[in-house]
Amino acid sequence: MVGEVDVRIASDPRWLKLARTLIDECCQIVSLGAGPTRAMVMAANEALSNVMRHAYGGDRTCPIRIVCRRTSGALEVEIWDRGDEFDPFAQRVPPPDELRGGGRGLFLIRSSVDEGEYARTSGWNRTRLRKRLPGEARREALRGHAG
Amino acid sequence: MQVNIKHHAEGAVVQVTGDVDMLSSPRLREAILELAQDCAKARIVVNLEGVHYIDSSGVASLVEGLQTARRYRTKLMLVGLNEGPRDVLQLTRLLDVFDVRASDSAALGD
Repeated sequence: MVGEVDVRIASDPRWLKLARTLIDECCQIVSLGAGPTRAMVMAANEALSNVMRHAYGGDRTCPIRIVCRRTSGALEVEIWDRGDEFDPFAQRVPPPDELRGGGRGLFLIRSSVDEGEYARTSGWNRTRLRKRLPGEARREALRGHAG
Repeated sequence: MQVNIKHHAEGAVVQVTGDVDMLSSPRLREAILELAQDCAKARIVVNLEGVHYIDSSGVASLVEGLQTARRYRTKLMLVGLNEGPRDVLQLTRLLDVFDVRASDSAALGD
């Protein structure tokens, strides 16, 4: 994948399926592999759902920007929103197997990506999800082994 | 997502088809909770053969269903787990919490 995909959707859950399809296609284009693709789609879906439910408080008319790009050795998905400031990587996450209703979204985001990062710039929240490409993951494992 | 309920003498089968996400999971939750509170139903079988994607809100619906079923002394079982839903339940360490059966008849039979 050369360049990047940059799309805007409204904060309406009816857009979620389209967003998942888009991210799934991007993962396939860079040959991420079946398991990592499911993981990236899951993380991005949870991040988008959080924006819709919490950052925008259920208002279905607010802007969300989704950017997918291949960087050196990884696929990156960025989710941009103008809602309340919220760092999904800085929250305490309860154990996912506690028998309670909700609250597993953050756990799924954090355990599904290789790296995650949050920033607030010019009134926008940017959540970046990163998944290493298979060759890069192997190289990294070898580097770790050698070191 | 579609939810179809088939009633049997031994219990009810909730047949789910399509993606379960924050848009659709309230319907699944409602269907399971309604059956779980119906004391006449000894077993609820949630058949997920037609589901390839389930998010945390879908998992929450299943967990709430399980809790309610236990409260009403009803058995809740899952059938037909595809890779996607299985991954999520495994990752959240909930796979062993649920009673997973091979088929509707296996779930209704013993």
